[in-house]
Amino acid sequence: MEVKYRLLVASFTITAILLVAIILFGSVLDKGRQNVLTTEFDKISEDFNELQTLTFLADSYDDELACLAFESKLHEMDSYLWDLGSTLDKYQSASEEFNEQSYYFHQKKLFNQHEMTYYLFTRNLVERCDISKTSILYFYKESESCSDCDAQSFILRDIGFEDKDANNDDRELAIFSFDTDLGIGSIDLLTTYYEFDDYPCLVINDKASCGLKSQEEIVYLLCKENDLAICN
Amino acid sequence: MIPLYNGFVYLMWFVVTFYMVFIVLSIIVYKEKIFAKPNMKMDRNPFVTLLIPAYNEEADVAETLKSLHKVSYKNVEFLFLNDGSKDKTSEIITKHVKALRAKGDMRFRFIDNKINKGKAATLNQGIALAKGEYVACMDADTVVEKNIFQKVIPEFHTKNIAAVTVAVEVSNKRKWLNKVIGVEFNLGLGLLLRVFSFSGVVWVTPGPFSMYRKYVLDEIGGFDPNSITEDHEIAFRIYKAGYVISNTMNAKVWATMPETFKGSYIQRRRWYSGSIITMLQHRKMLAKPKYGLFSFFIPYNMILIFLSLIMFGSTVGLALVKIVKNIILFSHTGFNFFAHWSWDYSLFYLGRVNILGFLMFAMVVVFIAVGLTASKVQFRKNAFGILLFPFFFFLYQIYWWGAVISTITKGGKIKWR
Repeated sequence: MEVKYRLLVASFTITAILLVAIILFGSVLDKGRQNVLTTEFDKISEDFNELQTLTFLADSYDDELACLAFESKLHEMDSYLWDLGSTLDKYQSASEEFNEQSYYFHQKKLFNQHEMTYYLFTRNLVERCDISKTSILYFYKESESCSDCDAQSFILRDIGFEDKDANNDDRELAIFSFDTDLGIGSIDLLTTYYEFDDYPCLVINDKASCGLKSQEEIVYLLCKENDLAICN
Repeated sequence: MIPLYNGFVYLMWFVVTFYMVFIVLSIIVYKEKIFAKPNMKMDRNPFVTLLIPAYNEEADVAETLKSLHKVSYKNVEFLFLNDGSKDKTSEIITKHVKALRAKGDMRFRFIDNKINKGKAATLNQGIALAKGEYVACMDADTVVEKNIFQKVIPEFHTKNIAAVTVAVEVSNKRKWLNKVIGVEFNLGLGLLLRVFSFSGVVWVTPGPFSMYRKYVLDEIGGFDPNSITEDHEIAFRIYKAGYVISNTMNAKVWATMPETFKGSYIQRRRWYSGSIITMLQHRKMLAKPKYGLFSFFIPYNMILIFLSLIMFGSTVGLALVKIVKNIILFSHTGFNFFAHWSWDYSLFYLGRVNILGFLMFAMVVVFIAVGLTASKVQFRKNAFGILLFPFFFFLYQIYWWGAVISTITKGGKIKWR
């Protein structure tokens, strides 16, 4: 075979090998991402079990003992869930190539369910232990059917950072975001309970408020009934 | 949009990588031959006719005349052909030719056409008048080295070599644009033509200087007067007639390039539009094994260019959408771009498409590095052009979009300058 044809064959082979190597490397990264998420979700499940145990402990003994443990656990889980939410988004966009992946749909569902569980724990413990924690419930839809949801997420993310900075990482705010498109029963129940007619929707101090809210409006709603560091 | 874009990235990656790997492998395989001289001694001095068509070249033609006077090869005629210039080109050539002949340099001749016929038609007139066994064609704003013919003639060492092209340098590198174009010429009109010539693919006989066998020009009917890129079009007919084109990196010429973006854009628009029109004109030659790799290279190159145009366009489009979207988002938080910025990166944030993109970029860098080393370009002397060279890819996209739009809207009626 002439040199030029051998060069063509060699070039094609090298290119094909490189492509296969990249596809395989991509699969290794996919697997790695899934392993990280599995570990993270396992850890959250363990934490929930621990919270459950602490609840039983409080029921059997007195609140004072359990509330001490609750407070440090809640603080730890606050930033943990926050980070996991953003990791999930980044992993999903890194894995997304030609179609929506059912794996990430499932993980997102799981994450939302965990957020709901965590919210309910927080709500219960804030009253029981007199913990200074204010919750924002944020209900959204996919950006195709909710033009303002991206902007609302961005504003809330910024408020979350402001809260973190103002309190030296010891957050006073707990922001729970719920995707209403996932068909999760508990989320659907809350949307019916608060009678949402438009998205995005926020629930602050147990009052629902729908439509895009600016940073100032949200801070105003928060500070009306709470004395928070970001209010100053 | 995103899945479609990702599909393009895969396709583009394969097409680009295959091309780059082929070039890099070719450079490695043929590295000893790149600057090798043919194993043939000049045992005779064949007569050569050098044709220099000139249209409005008053600024540069005097330098061209001076450089030709220094040419040491004696068995040559320098046939200047005015192409109905509207400036003082005719007067300058007349004056210099008269003076040089008076000094005893009888190699110079001048045909003063008063009507502008176009470059190809003027060259054909010159071919008809040429007495040489070889005909060389040269632009009137080009300067040659004094022993160019001693270097080029031995390159016709086999009967099937119809033409030989040489390395083209940019003579006016004062402005940044021409420093970058200088590097492009080193790689494109120097190294690539040389390396591809080993595989029988030389797609152009550059206007600044190329040399032909006279009987081949007669056989194929000279240049196409209707072509706006006659130096590219003739390559098709040379291969069609069963000949090949060779290249040497040992012989050099210095061509004057436009110094403004507008001038450069008009020139490139003609080149690239001409390449589309020429490919369509000779479409029956494409992908035909009897015409060798040349017939596959041309459409492959065009696919590569069009894919890169689509990808560049869509990448810029997607990036703009993202930028606008982010600006709108930041408008909700008082444009506090860096207030909560933190470095958060992980290998797991990389998707396959990102890896393909990085690798494609790396391949281009490897090609440039290997290419510059192989073509012995001095880094220090050309540092500015080399560092700015990646910017040329953006310019290239603009030139090509201009060419595509002009081809569709104006057909072949594209301005020369």
